[in-house]
Formats: sequence, C-alpha cells, structure tokens
Amino acid sequence: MRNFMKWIKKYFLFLSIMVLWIALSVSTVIAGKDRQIFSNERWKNPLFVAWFEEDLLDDSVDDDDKIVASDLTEEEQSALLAEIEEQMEEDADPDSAQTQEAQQGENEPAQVQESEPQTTSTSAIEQQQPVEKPKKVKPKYVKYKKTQVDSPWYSDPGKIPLTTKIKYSKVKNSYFKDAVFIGDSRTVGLRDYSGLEHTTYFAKTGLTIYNMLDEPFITDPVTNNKVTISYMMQHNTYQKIYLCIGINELGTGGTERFQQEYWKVLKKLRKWQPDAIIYVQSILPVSASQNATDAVINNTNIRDKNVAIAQLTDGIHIIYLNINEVFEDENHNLRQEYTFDNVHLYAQYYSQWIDYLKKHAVVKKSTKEKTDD
Amino acid sequence: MLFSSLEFLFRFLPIFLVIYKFTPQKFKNLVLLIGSVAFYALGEPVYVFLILASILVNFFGAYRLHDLDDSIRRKGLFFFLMFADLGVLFVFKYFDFFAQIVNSITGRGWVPQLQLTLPLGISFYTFQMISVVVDIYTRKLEKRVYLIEFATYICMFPQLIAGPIVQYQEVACELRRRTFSLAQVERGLCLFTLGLGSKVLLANKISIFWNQVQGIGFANLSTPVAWLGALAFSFQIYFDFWGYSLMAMGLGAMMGFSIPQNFDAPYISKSMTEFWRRWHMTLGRFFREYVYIPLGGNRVGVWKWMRNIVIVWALTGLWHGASWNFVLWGLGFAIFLILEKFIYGKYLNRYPILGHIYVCVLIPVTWMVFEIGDFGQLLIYLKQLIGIHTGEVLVKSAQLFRYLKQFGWLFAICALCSTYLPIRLYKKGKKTLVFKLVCLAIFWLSVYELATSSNNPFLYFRF
Repeated sequence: MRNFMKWIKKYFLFLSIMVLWIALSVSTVIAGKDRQIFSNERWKNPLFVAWFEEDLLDDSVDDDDKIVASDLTEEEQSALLAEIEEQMEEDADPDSAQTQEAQQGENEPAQVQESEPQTTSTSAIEQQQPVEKPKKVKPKYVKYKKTQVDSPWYSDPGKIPLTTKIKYSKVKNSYFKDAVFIGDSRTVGLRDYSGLEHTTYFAKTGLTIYNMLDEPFITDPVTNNKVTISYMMQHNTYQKIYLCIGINELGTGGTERFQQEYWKVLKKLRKWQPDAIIYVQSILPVSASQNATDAVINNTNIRDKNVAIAQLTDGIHIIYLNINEVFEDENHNLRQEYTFDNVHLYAQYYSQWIDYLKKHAVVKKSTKEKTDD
Repeated sequence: MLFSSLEFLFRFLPIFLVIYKFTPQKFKNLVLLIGSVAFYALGEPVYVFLILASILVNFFGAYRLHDLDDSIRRKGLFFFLMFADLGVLFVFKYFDFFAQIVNSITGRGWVPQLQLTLPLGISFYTFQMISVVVDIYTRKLEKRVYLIEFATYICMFPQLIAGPIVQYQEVACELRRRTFSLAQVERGLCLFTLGLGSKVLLANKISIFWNQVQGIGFANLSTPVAWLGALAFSFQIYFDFWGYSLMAMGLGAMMGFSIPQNFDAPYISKSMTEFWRRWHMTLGRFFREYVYIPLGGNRVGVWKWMRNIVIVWALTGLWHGASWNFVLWGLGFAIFLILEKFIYGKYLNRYPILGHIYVCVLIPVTWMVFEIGDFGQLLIYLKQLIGIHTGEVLVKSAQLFRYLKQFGWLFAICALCSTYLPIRLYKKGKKTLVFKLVCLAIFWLSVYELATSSNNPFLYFRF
C-alpha cells in the first residue's frame, strides 16, 4: 500500500489529468450536454467542453420550436406583425389596459391615467386630445438587392430601417438628466467616453436582450445592493429610455426569437414606465473587414435584426433611431478608421453619438422643458 | 495548431504520445518526424513542402560539405547554402519591405510587392538550418549528420513554430539514443503546465487590457493609463513567449530532449546588457556565435566594436519583423548597450536599485516602439507617457479606478511572476505533491479559459 501511494505521488500530475479528463468526458455524455457542441466542431473539441461553456439559451427552446425568419412565409411574417401591432394598439389606448396594469412600484406619485389633460409633466402626448387616437409612425426603409444567405441565424432583409420620421427637437445635455441608457459594451463605451455625465447608464459588456432585465449588475444607489434592471425600473422613474442591444445575440436564437424577446422587453418597459419615451437605437454595424470574414457577426445579420426591432416601434412611445448613419460608410459598414477591433468605436467618436441623440429628441408638448444649462 | 488549444491538448498530444510510446526505439525519430510534419501541415498546408524542400537541400549540402576538403569548393558550397537559406527567408519575409524601400527611393513603383504570406516558423527553422551548416563548415560539428536525425532536429514540433533556437549539438546525443518513461512525461508535463498557465492565465488575460487601451485610441488616453498599457503589453509579450518556450521545454522533456532555456527572469535585470542575456537567450546566442564573434566581437578596437553592436542589433530588430519600427527598436538597444559600456553601466551595477528602476521604466517604452508600427501613433503614445496629450483626454479618473479594480490583481501577479520567485519555487518544489496539485489546478483553469473563450464562436465574442 505504501508503495502504491508513493507511485501515485510520483506520477500524480499525469494520473490526475488522465483521470479527470476521462471523468469529465464520461459525465458530459451522461448529462447529455455533448449535444450542444455543434457536430462539425466535435472533432476539434474534447467532449467535456460543454461543461465549461455558459448555458446556451436554446436550453429552453427545443430545436424544432426554434423559428427562423427564413422559415416563415411572407403571410406568416405579416400575421405575426399584425399580432404585435394589435398589442401595441391596446397599449397605446389611454383608456385601456394600461390603467389596469398599474405601476408595480410603490414610490410613484399619483400617476393615474385620466382622460382629462393634466398640467403635470407626466401625462403622455396622446392625452391632450383624449378622443383622437395618436397616429402611429413606422420607420421608412432604404431597399437594396437581397442576397441568398445560408444561415440558421438570419436572412437578408433587403432593406435598412431609417430613423422614425417625426418632429424632433434639438436639446441640450440637460435633456438626459432623467434618461437611462441600457445596453451592451457599445453603451459601456458611451458611458466611459462620451462625456455625457448626469444621466443613468445600465450598461454591461455581454448584455443580451435575454438576460437584460434579470442580470443583477447594477448597484442600487439607495441600498447599495446589486440589483437588476427590472428592479430599477420598478422603483424609479425615467422619462427617456435609450436601448442599444443586439450584437451579442447574433449567433443565438435567430431573428424571430430575437424580435419576440425584444418585444417582450419593450412591453415590460412600457408597463413599468408608461410615460417614458423608449428610443430603440439601431445595432451598430461592424467594419468591412469583419463583415467580409465572419459568418455570424456581419452586417447582413445586424440589418436583419435592426429591421426586426424597427418593426416594433410606433413613433409615439417607441421611436427607432438609426444611429448607424453617424458611423457608417457608403457600404453601410462601420468606418474602418473609427474602430480598432472592428466592433467598438474609438473613444473620441462616442460624443458624436450623443450629438445625434441631441438632434433627435422627442420633447412632450405638455412639458415645459427648461432649456437652460 | 497552437499548444494552447484544446485540439492540441486533448487530440494531437495524447494520440501522438500513445503512438510514440509503442514505437520501437529505432523508429522513434521517424515517428516524431512524421508527427511533426503533420503538426506543421495542419497549420501550414501549402508551405509544408517548402520546409521539406529546404531540409533536403540543406541536408545534402551539409552532407557533401562534411566530406569536402578542397577549400574553394567548400567555400562555394557553403555560400550556396547560405544564399539558398537566407534567400528563401528574404523572399518570404523581407521582399516587400525591400520593395517599399526601393520604390520610395526611386519614386517609382518598379519593384512589385509579392504579398506572400509568411510560412509558419520560417524565421526559427531557417536559423537552425544555418547553424548546422555553419558548424559543419567551421568543423565545429565533427560528427556526421544523418537525414532522419537532421530532419527531426529541424521539424520536431516542440520547437518548430516558435520554440527556442536549438543547436544541433544540444540534441545530437538524444537524437541517437534516448528513453521514454512515465517519469519523463511527468516532469515534462509539469513544465508544460506552467507554460500553459503562463500563456493562457497571464498573457491572454492581460492582453485584454492592452486591447482595451488600443481600442480607446492613443490620442485620448491619460498618462497613467498609457503607462499601464505599456506595462500590460510588456507582461503580455513576456508571458506569451516565456510560456511558449516552457511548453516547448516540457514537450521536449517528455520525449527525452533537453531543449534549452530561453528566458531567465529578464525583468529583474539591472541593465540592458543584462536584459539581453536573459531575454530570448537562444536568439542572442545565435547572433553572438554566428554574427558578433565572426565580426570580431569585442576583441577589436572601439569603433569596430560599436559597428559590430550596431550590425547585430539592427539584424536582431529586423529578425523580429520586416518593418522600420523593428529596426528602430533594435538600434535603440544598440545605443543603450554602447552608452552602458562607456558611460553609466558601472553605476547601474553599483547601485542595483538604480538599475532596476532604469530597466523597469525603459523596457515598457522599448516595447511600445516594438509594438506600434505606425510612427505617428508611436509618437502620440510616447508623448502620452511623458504627459503631453495630443487629443482630449477621455479616460477620466473614474475609468482609471475601474481599470485598477478590474486588473490590479492581475498586474500584481504578473509582477510577482516576473521575479525569480516562480523559478525558485519550481526548483525547490517540483517533486512535491503540493506543487503538482498547483500544476493540476493551473492545467484545468487554463483548459476552462480556453473552452469558454474560444470554442463557441458565438460566446467568444462578448461585446
């Protein structure tokens, strides 16, 4: 026995690596996790890799249930859109479900949605004339020739959504005092380098539409705990919500799923912040070199997603902003000289993003926005 | 294929070792050769024929050279082989640089650019081939060299791509006869694991910070962040290269080869002269033996010595890359070496603290010259280091604190691992169980890192 222990100690590293390797591989197969590794990658990856990877979202969705944009016919697509539009109609109606779905948060001052126009600043635009339903404005598109795409994640939409054409005001930085910026690492860049302070940023590298509301990464200034965006939304009031999210989801779930999830998030945000304007910002493109070489993270995929989320906007509460105008070249790629890693902007360009937002701001008529500082 | 990849760790290496174990002694070199060629071909499917052709040319030339006595014929053959080896290296690596120079001098585009991709490892294996040919010519290598042994020496996968520049004499005996035991595998695995950790857990991780600094844009950095960036890159290149060399040593040890050491805690040097005795030691050895000493070394007058230094360091810089910033980098060291020899070297040795500060401040600066190819950007960066801002400083102190919080511990660990501490710990503890448990942890942590960052291409890109 003593000799056996000595032998183990002598060759400990080799033996332990072997044993753990076998054990991990066996357990991967038993747990059925190895199915997650794409079959053409399996020869490259040892069996147990699936243990180390973050759980892919599609855990909850069976492969058969995954709807992909290219699977739906034109009819089915427009049917789905009609369904979404109906939902939006309901939400826009001042007398409807909105009043019943009262705010969850307790520290909200009287935000009762009444039909009479109020002089307080929280009434929404449409309550000025309670009889007249506000006109929805959908974004216009620039069309181009579609290409055949062989991918489970996206198809070529053949068009680019433009900023919603409504009347905008030019504002100053003070406009953003009651705004919140939600997004992924591009919004992190905005936070770090745009120079816009005195506003709220809920931004995290790697954030996706799927984990956006429930990821506890925000430090609550009141309690100092780590809380989620849904918590902050239910305990605070924001008048403007700027969303810029989507680049991390390009390879998971497909465009239809992305759009469904985005719509779910928008619904929740509308519920929690019924007076806020939600600005859906386009997903920024990647540069030409990235676009040409990547089968997933390329601008056709991004365009597909942008078209999907542009369709969710109504021009009243939810506006679509085509931020890409500021940073793209003639071929709608991110300008190569604006980026180091093909995905993120150099620090000096984030201020241009804010400048664009300041030129495309919706100011509620009933609010007397002070235009000082 | 990289050593620090799952394909290598769990596919290539185990399969190779199993085959190698059961190969009879006299075929072990052949199996190693075939395995290494396969390894090379996986990463370089086209130019694998180039390396094979170079090996054949050099072997037959060297074989003939060994027997030739006529001094004129010997010289002729020797120069032919040098021309062939250096010529191939020149064409693939330096031709476009040369074309640029000629075109800008003449103002016309006479010389076309070839735009050839650089064959994997060509800088390393060319130098190894040259070293053998020269040693046979000068009769330093007296024993005859045989084809399989020579080919194995050039190709063996531990040192083929980026490994230490091994001299034939170092492995000649082992090529003839060596053992393969579990104890060797164990020892090699220890070294290999340490190298793997150095690359994956230190170099790769601190490169994230350097990439962020580059992503901001040099003109908008603040001076502290610029220094942190230079420091981060200094750590990155060290742990990357040292890690790779350790992995090469470990793999060689597994098979019974003693691959030479390439790094000896270079960052604790007290002078640039000492630095280059501790950094990339096999390259320094090559240039010393095959360029510096033939030129006369330091046994010549002052002016000739300085000329020798300048030539050696210009070539050292150029070897690292076909671009002016590499030449500038190399020449910078030539200047330091000359200044140290004649002016302040003795003070650095007499007051070690001065030497340490001198090295710790200047080495990151030299690495910036090495890394930043564009002169305009380089100037901006160097100015940032001394506090001159070319653009608006967009990195505020809040951001600096965020960086320190996120990366501070990593910088501390890197600094600690740059001292003699890890080497001393290894020497004392390499046979103990505790040390092996640490290696085990490093191994699986590295595997975890590799798995989560590179396997699922979708999850890899965390934007």
